[in-house]
Amino acid sequence: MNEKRPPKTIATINFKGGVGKTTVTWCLGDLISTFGNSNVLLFDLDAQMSLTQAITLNEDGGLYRKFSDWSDRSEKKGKTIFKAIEAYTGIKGFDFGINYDFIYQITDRYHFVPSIEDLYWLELDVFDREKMQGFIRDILGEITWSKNVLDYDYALFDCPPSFTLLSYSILSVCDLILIPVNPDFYAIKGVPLILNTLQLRIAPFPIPKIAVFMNKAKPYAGTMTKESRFYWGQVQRVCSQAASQAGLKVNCLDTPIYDRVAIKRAVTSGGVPTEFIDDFKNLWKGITEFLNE
Amino acid sequence: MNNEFVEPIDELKRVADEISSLRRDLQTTSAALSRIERRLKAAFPNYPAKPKKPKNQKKTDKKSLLKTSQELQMIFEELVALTQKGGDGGFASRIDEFSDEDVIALAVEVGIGSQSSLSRRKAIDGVRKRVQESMQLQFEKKKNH
Repeated sequence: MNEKRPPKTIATINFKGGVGKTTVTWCLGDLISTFGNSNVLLFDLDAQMSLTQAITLNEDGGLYRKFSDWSDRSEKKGKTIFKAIEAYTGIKGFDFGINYDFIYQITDRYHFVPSIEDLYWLELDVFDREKMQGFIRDILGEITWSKNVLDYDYALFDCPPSFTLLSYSILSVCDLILIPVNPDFYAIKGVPLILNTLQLRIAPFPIPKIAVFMNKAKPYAGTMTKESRFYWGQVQRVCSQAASQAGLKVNCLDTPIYDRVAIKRAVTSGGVPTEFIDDFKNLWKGITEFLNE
Repeated sequence: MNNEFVEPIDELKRVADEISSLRRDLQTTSAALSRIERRLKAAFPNYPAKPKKPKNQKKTDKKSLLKTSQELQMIFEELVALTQKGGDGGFASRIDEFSDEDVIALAVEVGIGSQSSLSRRKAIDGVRKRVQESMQLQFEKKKNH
């Protein structure tokens, strides 16, 4: 008998905007579905819809020409993530019916649950917080047991830059929290902020493993500039404090993604730019080793 | 009877007009020259070639690298600890003990510019900023209620 397993779940978050959450999540998904032969389901949980809009805007490129039509159809059929939340928190039992009206197929192996503007309502906490906690876990359960869609190896979540109810739902059940930081003070400040917040907001649930890496590191002679290294050192120190003082499982991955102009093309060009493939392969290796520890 | 000759006051006005006209021409020419110069600089940024740095300046650079990266890191951590205890006074009194070369090397080590572009004052300001940033980047253990 073929045993069904829920996908490994990775949530990308930083409370600072612009650190590259969306691009990194997209690139990792593209990398492991294209080069790693994994089935990947990508969720855009950000009401700002950066990832969803990037895919929409790319329609002239040909690859995702069908996305707008699919999205309209999905909304008409009430198969959006917001409708799923409404159904989940409603009084009736949760039987959403997972199919490809809810999940968009970017490629054979790379699938996508888009965001929708209605998710802004979540930030007003109109839904029951305690009930929402189980939403991601249960929708993943429905996806896992659905015969209408692929068996996914990984589910990647592009989280909003704030602690919304959806953030709460994913961060309290995911296998790994991935925090991209940039070599500047405000982006680095996001690390202690998230670590401190997680302790308060996730309890009594166990805090997942946390991996931090440097995104947009400034390159110099094959390594990082002194400034990038200084900030990376600060991140390592904070993570070390979190591990020793609060017992958090934090790993600083020494696999930076270097700042190059081409990364801005990542989503719109439909895949990881060639010059970034090795960087992302190294990052993914670090992630999986930590995940499987 | 009309005077055939120009009165001095009229001649003065005429000359003033000619000077104004000449000044406008010069300004136009000067602006055109500036534009040409800017275009040339954009097209040939390295022309004329910058003079090489004198050899003795390189010696200064080497001198400032006497402390290793690890030693500089330890000095930085010490400065953070002193600032946490004694505020900026603790920082200032300790950093005053270091030579210009060491202060500049420390600033370079924490990513504040390059050795050639830093004065002692700029280096101290940069290190102070990094110390303050470091103090704000702290993990706090939260208690579960």
